[in-house]
Formats: sequence, C-alpha cells, structure tokens
Amino acid sequence: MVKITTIVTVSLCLLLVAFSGTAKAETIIYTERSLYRNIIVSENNNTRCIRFSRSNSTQQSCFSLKDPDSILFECNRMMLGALYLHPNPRRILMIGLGGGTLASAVARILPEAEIDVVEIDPAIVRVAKEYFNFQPSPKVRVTVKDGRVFVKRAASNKEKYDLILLDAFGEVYIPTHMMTRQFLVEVKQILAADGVLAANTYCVGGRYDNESVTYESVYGTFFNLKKYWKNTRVIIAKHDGLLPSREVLAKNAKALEKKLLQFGVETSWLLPLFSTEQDWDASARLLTDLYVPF
Amino acid sequence: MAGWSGFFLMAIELLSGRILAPHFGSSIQVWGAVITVFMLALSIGYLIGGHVSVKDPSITKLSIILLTAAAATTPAVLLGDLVMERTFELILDPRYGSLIAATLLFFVPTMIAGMVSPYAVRLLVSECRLSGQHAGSLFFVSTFGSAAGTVLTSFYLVLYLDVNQIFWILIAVSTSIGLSTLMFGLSRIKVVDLEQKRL
Repeated sequence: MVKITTIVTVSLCLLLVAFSGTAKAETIIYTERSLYRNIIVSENNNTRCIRFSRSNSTQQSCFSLKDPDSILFECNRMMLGALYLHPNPRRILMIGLGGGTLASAVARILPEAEIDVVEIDPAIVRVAKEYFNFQPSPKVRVTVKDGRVFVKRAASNKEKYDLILLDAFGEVYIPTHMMTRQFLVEVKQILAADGVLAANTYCVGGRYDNESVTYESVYGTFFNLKKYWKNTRVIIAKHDGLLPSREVLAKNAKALEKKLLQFGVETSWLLPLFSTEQDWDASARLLTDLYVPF
Repeated sequence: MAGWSGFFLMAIELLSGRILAPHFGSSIQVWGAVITVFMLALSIGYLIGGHVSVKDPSITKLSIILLTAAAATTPAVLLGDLVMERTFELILDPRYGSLIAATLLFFVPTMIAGMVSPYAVRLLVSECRLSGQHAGSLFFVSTFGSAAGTVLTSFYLVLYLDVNQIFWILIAVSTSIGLSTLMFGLSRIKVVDLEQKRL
C-alpha cells in the first residue's frame, strides 16, 4: 500500500515538474509587426524559432542554439532532397527566406554555388540576419522583391538556374500568384535544361489536388515527398520531366551522405520519401492566373 | 444605379489586384498603386459627374454614363495582358509599373463610373432643403453596393469563376441595367411628349 502511494506521489511530482518546465520554457525574444505579418522569434530548450502567429503550432523555421547546423524542420530537410536529382548545382535561386536555415545550409553544402535569395519582406531578412545567423555574402545575394516579379525579370533577362527552391508559402501569407500554372511555366523558363525545382507548398486545406494537377501540367511526373499524411509536402520536379531512377537517386544520395548528415539529414530517412504515386484527384481544376479560389 | 455602380467599382478594384499580381507581384506597394489609381479616378469622376449634371439632367444621360463605364471596362479584359506585358518590359520598378498599368487599364472606366453618384444626386434633389437627405441616401446606397461587391466577389465569385468570367458578368449586368433604364428614360420622354401634344 505504502509502495503504491509512493509511486503515485513520485509520478505526480514528475508530472508537475514536467508541466512547469514546459510552461516556463518558451521565451519570446523578439516581435515585430512587419508589412506582411507578425514576426515572433521565440526560444525554447535551446531551440530558436521564427513564426508568424501567436499560436505555437505554426513554426516557420527553427534552429538549435547548441547545434546550429542541424536542420530541425522536416520540410527543409525534404527540400535538400532536390540535390539527389542534381548533386552539384552552380546557380541556385531561393524564393522565400524564412529563418534562413535552408539558405545557410545550402551555402555550406555547396560553397562554390552562386545563390540568389528573394524575399518580399525586408523585416524577415533583418530577423534572419540578427537571430538566425544568416549571412549574405558575394555568393549569397539577397533581393527584397516579390518572387514572381523576380522570376519574370530573370526570364526576360534569359537567366538560368540549376536549382530553384520555392519556399514562399505559409499559413498566414499565401502568395496565390505563385501557385499558378503561368508562374510554374515562368519558373521553367529560368531552369537550365537539366534544372530541378523543389517546392515546399505547405498544402493545408483543400489545395492538394489543385496544386498537384497544376505542377503535373507543367512538369509532368514529379517526386512527391510527404509526411503526416499530406500536411508536409515537398514537390521535386525536373525541367525535362525525366526523373532519375532509384539507382541514380541512391548513388547521388550516397555521394552526398556525409555533407547532408552534418545538417541532420539522414539518407535512410530522406530517400524512402521519394514517391511518384499520383494520390490526387486528377480531375481537379488547374490553378491559373485567372483562377485561384482563395 | 448608384448601388450597382458601387458594386461594380469595388469588384473591379479587388480583381485588379489579382490581375496585376502576375506581372508586378502582390506586395503592399502594388495594392497601394491600385487604391491610388481608383481613388484618383473616382475623385475626378465625381467632379465631372457633378459638372455634367448641371445642364439638362436626365435618366437617359445617366444610363449612357453607366453604359459607357461598362464599355470602357472591356479593354481591361481584352488588352490587359498586352498592356501589362509592355509596361513590365519598359518599367523596371514594380511600384511604378503597377501604377502605370493600373492607370492605363482602370483609370477611365473608374472615372466614368464615378460620375454616376453626383449625377444621380442631381436627379433626386427637387428642393434645396432635402438635398442633404438625398445625398445621404445616395451615399448609403452606393457605399452599401460597394460593400456587397467586395464581399460577394472575394468570398464567393472567385471560388467558382475565373477573373475574366467575373469581369464579363459585371460588364453584362452593367449593360443590362444601363439599357433598361435607358428604355425607361426614353419611354418617359415619349409620355411627356404625348402629354405636351395633348395639352
């Protein structure tokens, strides 16, 4: 009897400690109301996060203060899967900076690459520099501009990128003009012949089917990397639509393994996510410049 | 007519943001450009509408204003891409690009639609004492129409229709309202003529 009481008391105490711990742990270190959203930078158990709403569930990007290299967000890790299709891109375009974790990682993995980062919100660039250790350099150039305008201008200047990382969608600010077929065609225009596009589309709600048919209409079959049913999704497509075989992917993954592991990306986790299964309603309506129903 | 004109204007203003976004983005500056152009065009429309209403105001003329506004909107649908393409090529800064494109596409129809309200005030006001009341109810109808146009377009119409389809519907409704009031105006003129002949 005494034993049971002791066990109950001890577990209650542990629970209490656990709860008081979580309640106290998060501290908000910076907030700003920018032109496009609320920016909240918080710290919790040596993890620093940026998010765009009060609610805790919509973290945009996080990094570990103890291990700044490791990429904590699964969607960012999935974005790096694009390198399995093109292990050595020379020119890279990133649309959407977020905390800058992905940009910093790509710059470290590929020190020779020229990276253009486009971000619409100047406040995000400031916060990424100040709180997320993001450092622009002659190789990593940041432009404050609307992503679509940048792409259109790059297309008219006949520029080409080997890799384009599209990470502009969040739950708060949804740039609908970067979800359309016309936009994806413009992106294709600035992709090199063997170029690769990776898009982190955060398909929340009913966008999954529309989004899928729209990407398919421009790029043909693509790799669809998903987690948690459909809420975390990265689309990886190739300009020529010729996706590499499993063997080629595995070979490239092997070659990159060491570099990616440094950022916490394990081949055994990432490689199995590559899927070409079409699990969407093929009759869904295309998203075009004239039709985006939100 | 004033209510519809408010509806028409706000629906178009809302859609113009969508139309400009592919070329100039959806930054706060682009929205600033859209609102600036619409407000500027409206202010001039009010001025002209008031001025025109002084001489021989009639429902027929008001109908013609509404019909002209509808007709002036068609180039925005038909030539929109061409105009924005050219503007994008010529002007590098998306702020001024969107300002110029919005001016070229929407200034004239908005200005003409803006003439409706002050003109309608003139038709309603019969005596000086009630002019404020008439103006008040007209502002109410027209601004209420604007609110309806905004909410219906952004909440519902964009879910089912593409932007061009919504434009054509707006133009069609404007045209039919304009034509029916025109008929009504003309038939009244005939009645008045007949009565005068009888006398």
